[in-house]
Amino acid sequence: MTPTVSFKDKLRHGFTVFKWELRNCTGSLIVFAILAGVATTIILTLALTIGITEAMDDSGSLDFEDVQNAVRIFQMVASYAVFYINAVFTIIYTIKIYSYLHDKRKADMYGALPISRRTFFVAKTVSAYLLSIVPTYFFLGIIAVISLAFGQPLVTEVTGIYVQLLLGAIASISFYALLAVCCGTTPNTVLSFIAVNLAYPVAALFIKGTIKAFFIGLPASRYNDSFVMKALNPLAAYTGGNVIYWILFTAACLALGIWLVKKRKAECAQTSFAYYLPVYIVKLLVAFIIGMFLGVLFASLNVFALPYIAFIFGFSLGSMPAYVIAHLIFYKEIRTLPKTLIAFGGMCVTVAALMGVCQFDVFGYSRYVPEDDEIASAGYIDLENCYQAGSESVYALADMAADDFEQPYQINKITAFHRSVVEVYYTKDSNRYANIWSSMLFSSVPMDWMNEGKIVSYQLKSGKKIMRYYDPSLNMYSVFTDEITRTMVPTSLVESNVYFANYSAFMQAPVGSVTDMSLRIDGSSRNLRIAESSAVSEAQAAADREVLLKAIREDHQAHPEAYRKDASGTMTIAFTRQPQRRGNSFLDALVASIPSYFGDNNDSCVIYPDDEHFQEALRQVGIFNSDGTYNENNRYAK
Amino acid sequence: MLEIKGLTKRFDKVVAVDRLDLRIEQGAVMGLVGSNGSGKSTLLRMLAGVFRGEEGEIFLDGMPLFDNPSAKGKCFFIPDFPFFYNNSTIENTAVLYRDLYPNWSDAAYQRYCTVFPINPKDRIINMSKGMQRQAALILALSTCPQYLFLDEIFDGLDPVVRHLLKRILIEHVAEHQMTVMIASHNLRELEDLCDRICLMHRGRVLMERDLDSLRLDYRKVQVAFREVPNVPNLFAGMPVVSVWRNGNVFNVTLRGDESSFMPALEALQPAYISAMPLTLEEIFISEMGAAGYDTNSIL
Repeated sequence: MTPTVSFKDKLRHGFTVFKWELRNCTGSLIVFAILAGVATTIILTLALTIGITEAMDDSGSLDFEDVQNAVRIFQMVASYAVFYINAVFTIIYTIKIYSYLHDKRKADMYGALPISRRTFFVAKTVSAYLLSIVPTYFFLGIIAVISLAFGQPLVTEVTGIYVQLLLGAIASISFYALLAVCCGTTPNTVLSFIAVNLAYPVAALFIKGTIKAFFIGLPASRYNDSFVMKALNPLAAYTGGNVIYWILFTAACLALGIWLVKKRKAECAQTSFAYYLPVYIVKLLVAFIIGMFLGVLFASLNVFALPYIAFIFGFSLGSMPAYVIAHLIFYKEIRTLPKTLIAFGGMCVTVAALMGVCQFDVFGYSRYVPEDDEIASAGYIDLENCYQAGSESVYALADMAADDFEQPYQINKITAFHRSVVEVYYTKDSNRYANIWSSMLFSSVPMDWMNEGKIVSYQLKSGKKIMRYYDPSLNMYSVFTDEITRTMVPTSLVESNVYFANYSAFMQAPVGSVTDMSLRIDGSSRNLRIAESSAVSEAQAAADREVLLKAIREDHQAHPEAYRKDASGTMTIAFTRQPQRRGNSFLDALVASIPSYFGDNNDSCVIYPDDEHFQEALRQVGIFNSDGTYNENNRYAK
Repeated sequence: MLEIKGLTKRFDKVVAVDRLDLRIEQGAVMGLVGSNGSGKSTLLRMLAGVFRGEEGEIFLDGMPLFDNPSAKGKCFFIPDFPFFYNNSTIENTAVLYRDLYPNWSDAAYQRYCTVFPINPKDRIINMSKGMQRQAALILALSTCPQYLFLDEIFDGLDPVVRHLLKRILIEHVAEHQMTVMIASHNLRELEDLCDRICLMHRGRVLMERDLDSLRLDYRKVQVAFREVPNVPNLFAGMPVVSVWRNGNVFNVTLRGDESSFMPALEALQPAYISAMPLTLEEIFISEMGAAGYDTNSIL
């Protein structure tokens, strides 16, 4: 019978281990405290000296606002300094704490202690968390107190550091802990950690670049901010995003570590590996990225004039030596290489097969345009003319557009545009490997550009939905800019009333988001700005804008046939966009979320004299008199 | 009581411990002897809970030992090279053991700190090999273990400390029924201390016996002849383990009681005959030779 150890005893044992680790790391903690303290003091001294000099005016009086600015700079610089010093010391503590798994003599000492392996491992991990986080929080706290003493509250970036630090520390330490359990030596653990953190994002970039370059029209290809891009790169947790993912990642690493540590053979200390998963991951990742680099390079340079063959040649040339070198680094011998080549061979075959699928468009994804008679309804969105651009992802917009147009002539315009795009792609863009490089780094237009992307989507009679996104702003699609965007785009659809109703700010923007409004009354003779002025408060102006905007919406609903799209319309509004929404579909959350951008935050429309609600609204806000004539003394005319 | 049932431990293709069965009673002091690589240290590491056997199980007072804090709390293991951190002193290392070992005794700690000639505040890493072992012993004995596993503990200890250690261990065994298992190649020291001997070879137990009865079981007989009898096999029919001849003088190792072979030897009418017990080392060499260990070519 095995007597069970109570939870209280486990806690007591865990606390003992923590005290022991604290004592063993005292030296490192003292050095950290000295460095963080000195750095904070230097930054505070410099910030205050410079700040007070700036704040002093000629009369010798002090502008306290300038001093506060100096303190704000101190707060940010000092917090980041402590943050980075912490990163260095976290590495030191973590390597030291888990070295008990890799040193024969330590294994003898710790293995014989009357504490279960799992309790010991958990206690070590919690010690690593606390040693990394608590001293840093202490110094961040001091920085916060100094700032508050000067009347400067914590800025958002600094409050974010608390979360970033917590997430980064627990994710990175847990991942290292798992690798430490799997590896037999500390150098192999460190090498694996660095290699996975570096190689994984590069491998993900290559995969992303390849998908984007070959699957033209894919509305879901950007995963820069997705966990997919950083899945095995826990150092990225220090950036603070994907909180749920990193918590789950930490829990998974810990759970796996706890499960494996009891099964781990203590005699693996100082041998290569206790479990072979990390070495396979590292060797395959390194071989993959080096192979992809050479393969894509050769193919994009059109070596042999056969891009696919050039890719296979380059991939083999790069990946095999990389795999062998990685093996030699980890094992320090080549005897065991042959039996690990099966995994390498499997990866090569898989890459060759998948690249073949991309190269020859085996599933016809890029070529496919549905026949008109298969289509129940279709949609087209020009992101230059779309209120939702900037707040919805491309995928979400494509999804909502599929039901917009049902008339055969409208559907035909869309399929004609779609066919022309596909044709240009297949006739002018012969070597798509060259597109991989740009596709790796760019997934959508930069945020400050106006988005010229075009979305087509179809609701087929079979119930299937087809969505494609073409972005002429990117280099790889430059062939479109001249030949397609000027001639084939279905402009009439963009100017249609359906489009106005679905994608104009007039119809879609929340009334509270409209920040400015201009009206041209009686042609161009009278221009009014419904905005805050000396005569009108912002609250009054906002209330009036709301009344007028609601009125035009009611008028458009009453007369949907009225053509209102006009760049120089009688009414112009400026608005703030809703923040970009993400994860509104599984695909979005997993890999997709191409954000749509729109630089222009205003919209115009035409108002007609028989827009009854609007006329009434003008009377209500006092711009018109009760008899419908213009009120010269209205509050916006002053 | 310590009970080992069918224990096997492999390192890749090497079988370090092979289906080993052993039972050690409470209060026994067992010497673990054997050739290099016979599995002594591996067995001790398994007894300490550092290694886990691929097959078989170790029971300590009826409880499975591996990863069992309750059972391990009764044991202490001093490996051949005990580990200490750079800043470890006996005093600060005692903090860890005090919290983890249920039988830790501050009184014993104070006592052993004065008995062994070591300053508990000195850094252990700066001490000599022998002093590091003494440091490990102070900590080990302070946990008041019921089972003490020692690997090459005499290595590096001066004769005075060796004597002191033996005295302390015997006291502990007598007073607290402590069970001690010592792996060592220093058979002379084991002879003084152990009441049982376990001889291992190639991961298996060749022999596990009470030391006194083992000693009685072997005799080294010196037989001198004025003229060596002209018979083909001089000692035929006697339980001979080994024979070494130097002219007319024969040194014969025989197994068994003197009464079983002396009449036969006397019948050869030697000029001189003398029988004496074997040392443990001589028994070891004899048994290992019998087990196929090529002692003649090594020696």
